[in-house]
Amino acid sequence: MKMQRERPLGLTFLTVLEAVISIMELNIGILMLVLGNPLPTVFPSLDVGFISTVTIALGILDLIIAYYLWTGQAFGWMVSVAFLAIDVIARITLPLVYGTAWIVFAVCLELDIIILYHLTKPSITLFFGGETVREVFERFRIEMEPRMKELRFTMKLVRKSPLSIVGAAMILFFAIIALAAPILAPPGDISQGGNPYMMPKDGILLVPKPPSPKHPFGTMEGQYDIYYGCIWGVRTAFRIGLYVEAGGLAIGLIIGILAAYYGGWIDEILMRFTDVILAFPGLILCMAFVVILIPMGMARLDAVMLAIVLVGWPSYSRVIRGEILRIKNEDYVEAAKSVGCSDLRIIVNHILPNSIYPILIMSTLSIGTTILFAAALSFLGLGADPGTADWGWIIALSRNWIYGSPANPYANWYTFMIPGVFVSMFVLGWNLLGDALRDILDPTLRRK
Amino acid sequence: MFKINLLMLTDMGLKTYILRRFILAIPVLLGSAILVFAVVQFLPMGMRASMYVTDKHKPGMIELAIKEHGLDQPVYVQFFYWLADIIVRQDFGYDRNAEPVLSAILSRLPATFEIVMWASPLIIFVGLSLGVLSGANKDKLVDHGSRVLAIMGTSLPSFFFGIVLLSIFFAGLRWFPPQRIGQEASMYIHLSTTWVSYTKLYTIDSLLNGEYWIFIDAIRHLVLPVTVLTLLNSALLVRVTRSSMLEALGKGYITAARAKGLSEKEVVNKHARRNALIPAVTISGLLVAGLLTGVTITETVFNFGGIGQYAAESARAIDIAPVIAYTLLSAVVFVISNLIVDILYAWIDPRIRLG
Repeated sequence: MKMQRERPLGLTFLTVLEAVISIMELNIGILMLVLGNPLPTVFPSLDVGFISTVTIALGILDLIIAYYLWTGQAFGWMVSVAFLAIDVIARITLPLVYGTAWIVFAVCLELDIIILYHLTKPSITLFFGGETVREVFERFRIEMEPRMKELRFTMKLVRKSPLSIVGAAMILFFAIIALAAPILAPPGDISQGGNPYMMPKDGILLVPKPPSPKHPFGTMEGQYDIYYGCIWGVRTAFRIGLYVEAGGLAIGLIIGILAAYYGGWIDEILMRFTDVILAFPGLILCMAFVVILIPMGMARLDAVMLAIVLVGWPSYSRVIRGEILRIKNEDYVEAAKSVGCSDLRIIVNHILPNSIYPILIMSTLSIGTTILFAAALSFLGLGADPGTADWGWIIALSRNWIYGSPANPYANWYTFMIPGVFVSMFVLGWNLLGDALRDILDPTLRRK
Repeated sequence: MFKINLLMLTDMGLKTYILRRFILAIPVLLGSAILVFAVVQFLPMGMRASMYVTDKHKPGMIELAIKEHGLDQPVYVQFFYWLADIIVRQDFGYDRNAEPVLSAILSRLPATFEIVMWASPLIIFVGLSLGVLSGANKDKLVDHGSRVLAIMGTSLPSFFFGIVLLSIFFAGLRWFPPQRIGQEASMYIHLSTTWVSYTKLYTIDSLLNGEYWIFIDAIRHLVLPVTVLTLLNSALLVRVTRSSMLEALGKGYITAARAKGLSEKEVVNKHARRNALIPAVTISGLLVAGLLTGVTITETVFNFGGIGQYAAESARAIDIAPVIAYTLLSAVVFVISNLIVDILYAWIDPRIRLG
């Protein structure tokens, strides 16, 4: 195995191409998020947020591909091919749902196919300096041997903990519901004002109606369809969970890295600041933030998400700081310093990969808590706008209908039982997965 | 002689430790006050002034409040005005019903205190005993049962659990009604001439007054909220106690105790349990936070009329003054309880204060 390989020109070219696609997509996605989608779609009711999220996700995928192409390793080649395949499939299927908005993706699709072709043709002379696919495979096998060993060990641990499989299956189930929401519960258009996240109303009658073929889970106060609310509520929950985790993780990472790496008075100030936020019970501080953010003119659900981010980041930054302090004095960091690596390079290439596991586990664990927080705020009347497909809000309204009738006191069970089971299962799934992940991936617990 | 010296030394250690913790708590409290103040600064001046006004629509009132509370001054001057309002004059402003926030909170405090008074011993008892049991009987039925309980406690939304309990035990069986006390008992308390409010806690006052039917009525109203709080808050305690019990059982002194020929019961009760309970003390601070949060939600579900429900209802109506007061209050309670926990921990475990 050659240690120092020269990076072929063709590979550099592909990397740059991939990076350009990625930046283009990220820009388009963010612009759509800010300005709205200028292109007509098949379902006018589909929200811009979803399309732009998909675009941004594809952009990030391309960025990862570009990074792996740049490394020039056989592992990178494998990852790139796999990801490019996902990319191409996603871009071919998306127009079925998003209609002419697909134009955004068309150019990228073509470029992707070209890159994929060059990466997989029988002899990849241009891009890997005369190696054949077989040789690359061989190199890949040697490169990957230690990793494969760890992976086999992980799989053994996974097989030993059935709860992790149950948790993952539950999350997968919810993810499928979220993706298939437009098919499972097609949005109408008149009663929702064109927003699929608003629940459709069937009449104005106050009293809930029990399940019927037209409304499989019945209707709640004000004739909102509970089935629709529960199905689209999965999307709301994923949206809250992922946005909040991403926000908290981003702030937590930056603050934690700054505090730990530079130490001294920067560390002191930042950590005292986290002390102050941690001096409040989380939900109550959230409540105070939301009460201030709403009169400032923020949309209610956004206010809730921002509030949870603002309350949640200190625990991340604490953990990240602790991890980095542990790693900072390791020999390999000293070695990197002594050969003159920049601070940024040391942080990104040496410290982060060795400290990211506990944080990833922590963020999976806390998605459940985040959803509980958001649902509790909704229940207290601070969450989503009335009529939003949001489990907490449905349960809050169902509280008025606990008592059925003298003949059958449980007559309205469906109004709170069904959305309640949805919330509980969603949170349970994340908690099971997070618990198992901690035991499986945490290097300190792994070999016990 | 040597022994006495060592004792004096550790005693000194504890004293300096307590003093140090006290001094460290002050900047945190001040910092949380600054945080709350800074957050409120995002609101326009008129809105901040209206917190101090009984009737917003009366002309001149807002201007008067701005003058009186220094809201037109520079920010740092305003902060001292605000702090003086709170500490010196105990003025938290008025809520939307033109009632001073402080008196509203004080009048609702006994209800919250009553729930907490009944729930916290139960939480500690259930959490510790289940944790010890499941740690001592790893992978037995008790262990699986308490782990299911722990997972339920962390995954089940408290409001949903409360509603289900209400549906079964109130709507269905008519055993445990919501609210703090029944109508009859409430009438009696307010109209009777012989009733003396010693503590404003119905469960204690009724016993002191000899009205046992009121005691039973108050307990019936307490069962459901206390159940919800206990199940959801003891989950964390069960997990921590279980894992520290497992850790303690793996230590050398346990093997030594077993080798000495002690029965398993004695090993668990005398050697493992004592050491396993120490880590449980450290998370009691978290339990206080859990209780404060839990009280906010359970009181709303059961319409119990405590400060948590007051804050939640004010928040729903975007009535800022009570929410701010409640947030500050909960921060103070949380910081002080953490302080007590730290001191308790140092008192139990000398390694902390000497380390």
